[in-house]
Amino acid sequence: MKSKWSRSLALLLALALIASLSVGCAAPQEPAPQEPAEEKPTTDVKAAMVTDVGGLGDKSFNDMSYAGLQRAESELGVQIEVLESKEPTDYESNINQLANAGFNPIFAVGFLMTDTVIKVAPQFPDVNFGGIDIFFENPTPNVLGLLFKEQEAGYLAGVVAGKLTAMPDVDPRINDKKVVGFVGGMEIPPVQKFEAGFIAGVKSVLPDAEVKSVYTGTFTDQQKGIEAGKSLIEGGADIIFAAAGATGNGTAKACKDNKALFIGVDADQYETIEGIGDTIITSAIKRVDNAVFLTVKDAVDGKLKAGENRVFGLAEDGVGLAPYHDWETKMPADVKAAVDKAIADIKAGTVTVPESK
Amino acid sequence: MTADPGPVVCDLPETGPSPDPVLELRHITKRFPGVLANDDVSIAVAPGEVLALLGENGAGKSTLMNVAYGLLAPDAGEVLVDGRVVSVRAPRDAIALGIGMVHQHFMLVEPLTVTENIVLGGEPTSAFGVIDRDVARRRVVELSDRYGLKVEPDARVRDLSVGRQQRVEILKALYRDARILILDEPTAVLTPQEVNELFDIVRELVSEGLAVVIITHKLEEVMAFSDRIVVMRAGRVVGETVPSACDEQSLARMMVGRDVVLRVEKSPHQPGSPLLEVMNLSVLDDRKLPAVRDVSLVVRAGEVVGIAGVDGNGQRELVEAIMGLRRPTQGTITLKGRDITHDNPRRTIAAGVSHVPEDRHRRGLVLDFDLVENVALGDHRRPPFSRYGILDRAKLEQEARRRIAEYDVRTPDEHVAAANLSGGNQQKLVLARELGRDPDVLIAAQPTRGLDVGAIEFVHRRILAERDCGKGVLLVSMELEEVMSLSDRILVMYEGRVVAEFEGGAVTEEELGVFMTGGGRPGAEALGSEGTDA
Amino acid sequence: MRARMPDAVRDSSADPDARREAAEHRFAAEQERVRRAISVATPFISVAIAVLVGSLVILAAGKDPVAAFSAMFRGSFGGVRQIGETLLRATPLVFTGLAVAYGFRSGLFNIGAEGQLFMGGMAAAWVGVMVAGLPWAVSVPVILVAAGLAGAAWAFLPALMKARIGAHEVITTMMFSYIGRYLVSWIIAGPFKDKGAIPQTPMLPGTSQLPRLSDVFTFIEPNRAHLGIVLGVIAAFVVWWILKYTVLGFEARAVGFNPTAAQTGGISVAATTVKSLCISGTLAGLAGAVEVMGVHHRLFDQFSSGFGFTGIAVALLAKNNPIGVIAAAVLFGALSAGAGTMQLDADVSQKVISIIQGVIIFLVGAEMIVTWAVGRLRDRKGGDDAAQ
Repeated sequence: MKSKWSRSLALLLALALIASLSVGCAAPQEPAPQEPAEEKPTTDVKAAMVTDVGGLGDKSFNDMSYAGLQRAESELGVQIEVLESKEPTDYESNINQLANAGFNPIFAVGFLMTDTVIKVAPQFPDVNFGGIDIFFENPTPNVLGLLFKEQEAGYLAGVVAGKLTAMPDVDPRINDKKVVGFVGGMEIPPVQKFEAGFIAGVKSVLPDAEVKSVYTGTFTDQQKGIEAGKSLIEGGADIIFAAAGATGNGTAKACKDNKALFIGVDADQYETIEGIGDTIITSAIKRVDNAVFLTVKDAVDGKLKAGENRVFGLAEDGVGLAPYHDWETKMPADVKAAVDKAIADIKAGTVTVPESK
Repeated sequence: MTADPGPVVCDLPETGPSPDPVLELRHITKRFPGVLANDDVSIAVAPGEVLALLGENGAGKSTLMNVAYGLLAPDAGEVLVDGRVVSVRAPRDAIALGIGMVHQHFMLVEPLTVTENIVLGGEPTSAFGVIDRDVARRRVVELSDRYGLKVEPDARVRDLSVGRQQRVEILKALYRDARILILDEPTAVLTPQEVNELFDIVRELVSEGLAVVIITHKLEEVMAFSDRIVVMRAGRVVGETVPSACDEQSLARMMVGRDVVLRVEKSPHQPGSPLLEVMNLSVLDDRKLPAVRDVSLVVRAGEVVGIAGVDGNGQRELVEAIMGLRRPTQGTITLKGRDITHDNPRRTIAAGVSHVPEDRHRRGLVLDFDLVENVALGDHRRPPFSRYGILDRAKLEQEARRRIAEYDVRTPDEHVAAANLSGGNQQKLVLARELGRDPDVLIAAQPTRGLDVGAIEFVHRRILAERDCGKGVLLVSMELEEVMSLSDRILVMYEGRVVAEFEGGAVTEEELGVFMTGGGRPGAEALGSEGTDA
Repeated sequence: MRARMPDAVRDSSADPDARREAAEHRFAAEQERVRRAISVATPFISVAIAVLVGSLVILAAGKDPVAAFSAMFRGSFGGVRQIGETLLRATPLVFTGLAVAYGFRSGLFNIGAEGQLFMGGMAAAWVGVMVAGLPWAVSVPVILVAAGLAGAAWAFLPALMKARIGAHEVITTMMFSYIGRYLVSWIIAGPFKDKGAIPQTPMLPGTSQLPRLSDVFTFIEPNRAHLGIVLGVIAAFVVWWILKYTVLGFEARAVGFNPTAAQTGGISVAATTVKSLCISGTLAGLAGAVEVMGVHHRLFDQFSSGFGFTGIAVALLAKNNPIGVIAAAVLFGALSAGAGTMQLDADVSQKVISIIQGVIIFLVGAEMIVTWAVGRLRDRKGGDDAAQ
């Protein structure tokens, strides 16, 4: 009798566990209902976004785009919505549903949605579509490519790396070989631009430095990032800049395990890679949130101009360098000054960072 | 219900209930979905008595004893120990009341020693339930001396023979002070010698005042050593008697419900031309050790060749090699002069060899298939059952119905899964498939293992019918009586060799037993000892 | 109280025998009935529990489960367009579900259907471009055959390893799955990359695409369901027919249930294993092909969201019944199609759908729990009957 009871109990517990787990998982995803604290500026603009298959929680473009929308919600009173895509089949239906529900503008996050946006946009001529990281060759009047000058962010990362690798006294992890590494995901323009900028940045402060590059061919496989990191470190690199999505997280781990330094990409990876600590110096970030927010703001102000590709650079606050965090205090002033100078030079147009090697 | 004292059903007037029963079951009724396993059954057993619970498979014997041991809760009825109504809700209640049970499948932990197994799961209140190996070991030795249950207290159970393992099970019950010992089909797994030893032990136990209940369907055993016999059929007690007042024939009738021929009569032996010839065959077993060593034999048309031997002396490998299921390392197998040594099973079957495997669940049937598909197995690639790779389901069903009728497979219809048939009907189904194919040679391995009297008779008749219409039959069996009653020639296998050959009827069970265990005449002995050195 | 007959009379009569036999038959029939009933009931119970858990989660989030599920239903079956979305999503799952189910029926766990799907998709993308210029009626069958062969080829080596040296297919098909995925990643980023920046294959010509149903049958309102679903249904019936009416299927099932008995019955277990896994691979390859030909019209790295793995859940939910696979695939398709509407209309995060899918997968995976629970209910009921 006892065993029967305990088995029933076990079943019940198992079900309760499933339920509680799922609540636990789901709850944080639910956007907290934002009570309108003060009277918000009102607008009838409804902005929405469709994630790529990475979904919310990717601590990258999807999350950053959403942050831009949330900022528009709180600062501009825009109604926002986000539909996540679990498979590429969802892209079209998600965009369709949002367009049918009256959202405008609608952001499609990631170049994977290029085909879909090109296909769907003509069906909704009154809706504007923003494509994050999407370059439209022949943009229709209602599509807007939102692109970034990755090379400028890469350049700043290169300045930091080039400076530090020549200063073995600053940190025991820095060697005297003057070799830095780059790990790329797939060989696509944004990554290539990061690489080109990075190399240019390094050489600008340390002309005899060597930059070793590895492309893993994937944005998802962490193991490959670890392997790439290890091989670069064995080749003498003491600072590695990875522009490789989740693959780069593996590289960060390789740096941590093998006493090397890391520079992150896209978002401030000090916040997104668990336990990275002072292995990470800084990150070359793409301010997708700014691009999204500015686009929505244009829509609210009635001056959104689509039918083109917009490129966000340092001057537009579309790319930049993340805070140094754990390195803030030990970073030599010399390095900080070099970075500030580079920023000023780029903004002033006295330095133009190359897009390709 | 309990107001009725429930007169014990008596077949013969001179027997009656025991005077002071230590265990009594009254009006037990147990229902399983769709079947009444026990229908108002009452039995009693007294100290110093061996009660045989006789019945065919499915008659409800095991159900009844599982009720007594607390494994099943009865739907109605009560259990009395020492005349008091008791509540037996789980085996531990039964153990506390002094009831011990040895199941057909032993419940031993193989890597542990004999002593550890006996002590394991002892009553939690017992003082050395924790671990006092010396005390435990002493007590085990003491018990085994007292009842003549010789075991090595420190041997690992996995190294023991089946007979020894059974002793450990019995000791386990005695260790927990069992006064009532239930043995479920205790001889099913034993050699003739081990059976005799077991009976000696049982005698010893009852002389010490224990009550023993033996569940069995073997008539000769019941006659040999029970004090009282209760016969069950279809969930009810149909008779009660003592061995002196009945014979095997009358018991069989009671058990089956009709007259049964225990020993099938057979016509004189008229061997024809050789059908199956095995020459100098050697085969390895699964561990790549020699299992069959240089065996030669011939099966002629119209004869049954029996192979006697203790299980594991190469019989299985020999059969598998003939059927193409196992590759021989040397020698040839020919069928009607054609070499089939390296034929795969499909070609062997097609050549005219049918096979009743020793394990009908594992080899003989696909239990999840229905009867139609089981009958089709092996013939499914041949017209008219299939053409161009497409099955003719109508033909298959028609054929299945024909064979089900011919071989008397009792089933609601041909679309039930074979798993739902009783053991006897499953074996009939195998025969329906293998014999229905009209082979030249039948290889029958353990064809009646686990079957009840009625089904055994059917199988025996069928095998002899094949012989009488000119087929050759190779019969492999561990049941000496079966080999002796069916075979025209008997070969004895020991350690992979044929160590002796006899004409049917020219040898006694004892003589065979000697050869089966490696003894025998000087010539045979030489063969045997030669075999052991490899 | 039953009147007792004289025992001699009862012994000689055939009565107990007849009773026993009748009881045995009843028992066998009952067993069969119960087995079938359980087999049919468990998937429904699994889905019901999953919906219940989903409802609890929705309640916990302070939303209305009824509104949520009716929105979900509207989003998946509420109109032609919605049904189209459901079928669109069900299409690859029908094929991968069939692939895994056929494997299971032959006792093989093809956990690497995903890799075979990628190879099929690759073949479709490649051959589809190669056959540009041929008429539709020629090119589509050619592409499908090529994709099926590619999937089969990707299952063939694991099958051979299983047949020859006993390497377990769970390991080998999984390994091949990784190899296939990386191979495809490399091909679409390198040798077979389309012009432009994005790593993807060139667009298929129109004659290599599977048209939308609404383009073929113009009386249907425009929707995204394509001819692939029709092919899927045909495939399901073909698989059903193979299993039931061909020697191939008979041998596959025999090996699946009991390889030892199958071998004894003259069936080559090794050959059957190879054939079955290749058929499974063919179906998975077709899944990739229909997805490429009907939806994206090209191949890129993430064109499958793990259809090969979801196929395992589909097969389990369908009890490996090919026709059931259609229903299970439609269910999964509907859940995914309705998720967006549920969020837009009922303000319930579409993650709830993932939870429901997860619970279904969990339950069908651990089906013994359900079987056991049903068995307990039945036992209790039987006990009550007897007590009265």
